[in-house]
Amino acid sequence: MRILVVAFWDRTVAPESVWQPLAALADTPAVPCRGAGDEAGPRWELLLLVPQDEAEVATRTSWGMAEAVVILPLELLLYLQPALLGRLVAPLITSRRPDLVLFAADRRGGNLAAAVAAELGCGLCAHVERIEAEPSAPPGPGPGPGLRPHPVYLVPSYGGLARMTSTGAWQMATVGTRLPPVRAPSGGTSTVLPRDGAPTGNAVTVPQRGGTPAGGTVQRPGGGRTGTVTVLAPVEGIPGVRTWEHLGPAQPDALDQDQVYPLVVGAGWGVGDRDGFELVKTLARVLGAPLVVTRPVVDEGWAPPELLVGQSGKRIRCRVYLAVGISGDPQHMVGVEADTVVAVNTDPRAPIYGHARLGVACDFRRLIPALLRCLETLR
Amino acid sequence: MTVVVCVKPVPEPQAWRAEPVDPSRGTPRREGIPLVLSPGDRRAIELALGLSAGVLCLAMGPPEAEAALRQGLAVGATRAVLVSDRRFAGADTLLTARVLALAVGRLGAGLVLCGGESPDSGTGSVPVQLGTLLGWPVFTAMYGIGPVQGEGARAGSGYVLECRMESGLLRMVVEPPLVGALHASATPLRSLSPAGIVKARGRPLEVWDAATLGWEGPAQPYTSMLGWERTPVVSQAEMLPGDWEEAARLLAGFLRQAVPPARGDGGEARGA
Repeated sequence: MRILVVAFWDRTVAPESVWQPLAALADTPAVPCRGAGDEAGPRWELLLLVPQDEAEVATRTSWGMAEAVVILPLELLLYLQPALLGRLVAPLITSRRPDLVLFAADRRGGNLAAAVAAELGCGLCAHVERIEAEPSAPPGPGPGPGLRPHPVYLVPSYGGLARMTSTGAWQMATVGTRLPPVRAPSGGTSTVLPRDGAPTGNAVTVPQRGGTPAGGTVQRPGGGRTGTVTVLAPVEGIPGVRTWEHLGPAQPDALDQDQVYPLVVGAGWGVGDRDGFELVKTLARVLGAPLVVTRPVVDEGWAPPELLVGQSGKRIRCRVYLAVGISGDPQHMVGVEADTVVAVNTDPRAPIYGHARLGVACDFRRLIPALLRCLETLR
Repeated sequence: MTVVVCVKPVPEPQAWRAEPVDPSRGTPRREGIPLVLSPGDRRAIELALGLSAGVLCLAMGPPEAEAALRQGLAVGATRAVLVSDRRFAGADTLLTARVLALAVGRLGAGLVLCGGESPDSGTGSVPVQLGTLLGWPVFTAMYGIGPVQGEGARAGSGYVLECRMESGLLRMVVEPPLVGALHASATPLRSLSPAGIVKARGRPLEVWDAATLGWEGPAQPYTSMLGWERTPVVSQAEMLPGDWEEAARLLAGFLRQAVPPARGDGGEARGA
């Protein structure tokens, strides 16, 4: 079985993190979906999209278990153009004939995966939490060896977990970002490039818009290693964009995702309206705790998107998470890593109570003013 | 020039939370659950109204999705088209994008805006796949769009787009056709007003079926749901007793014990 991980990378990112999508498979005792006649275990390949001026750094980086690494250098602006990226990446995927293609489920990875799926006319299972085997499902019809049994993707959906199957020639998934750390699967061969290894090998081509091919070089590392690193020709020229300028960094993040906060306060849609949200905000301020929100709170315009935590936002780590008006849907909770969850929710059946160690099933509009008074006396 | 805003009618979140999926069919439950316009789509309509007096809301969905399109008309859209056909039931993102691409082609539009991630599933895939199928550039994480002015305007038609990339904010002058998918910070929401709802009644809402789009044969989604289960809630939470005054007293004690109000608290990194 061949698994291709498609990842964006630059020098600020730890090389191991590009393997994060494999965590969907890492919890299973063995990779569940084997290619027909393939008893040797999975083979891992990596397709890296890197900034144009960092391609060389990428070639000198060790990519662990990858048997083959393909590096596609990109102009900065291309990162904004998933449709064009999809057109570039789709033929690179088909040429490698993987049985399974995995992307990170962040915004860039998700957008690229969607574009590639549209290019290739195949299904995409997004935000997958786990991949299992389904013996009763038909094998994949694709040009690859065909997966038996068929993979089934477990995806958070409508407050539960859906079992999804995908048709089309290629099996593709984006994989959630809150997963256990990746254990390097065995069976791959580490690729280490000699620092001054002379590139040799065959030319490869990248199809560009309008069908113009660009040349590239296959580099084969020395030292008896079996892995390969292929650097494709950089892609330049952005269709449709006349001029562009950087306006500077976006507003700095109020949340540090690497920090373990003693306490974080979360507000969900259950806060009801802007006044309700302001009440929770006041509580967070008095407690000296960062405030985070669920997606509906941002959608309603009560809070800025920078505070969003969950599947499409950030991830936070804390000792205590005080969740006010939060239902506890996986879309939010995948972003919360807390030792103790305290839930304030009037619905005792709300999924948040599955996470909570302490619960208060009363109206937060009455609770918080009383809580503020108590905190004042405890100063 | 008409700007097309692709909207996704989503189940009213408060209504579907109890039993969201029909286990026998493996599809989201629709009966008795009103479909509404997602907040992201309302933002897209708002931005489109800043560009053109002609804003068309386009959606694919069951007949009940008309209600969501009426909301689009009530917040300012001038025309709405609902693509509705039993063949498209259970569509995934790619099948939806294929249907919308045909409809956009039929409408002859050159600018399509989408609301970004919807609150029900939130993959944000449809705008990207729509642009890919149309062969148009797709700009995601867009938070502003306006007409080109001054020198640039003489170079031909175009838009000034502002997008939020991982590396920062970017302003571009771009040429249509294009698909833009909004970032959640795009623009404030306009509330539904009684006057808007009354006005919407007089605005045209067309329903197209597969034949209108020239779609022949069946329509198979590319992904399908084999099953769904609610993540079981096994509550081990200790529920605080008493009324809210008592609960507040106990909770305050817990919070202060867990997080003493010491100087420097809340700002220092601690071991995991």
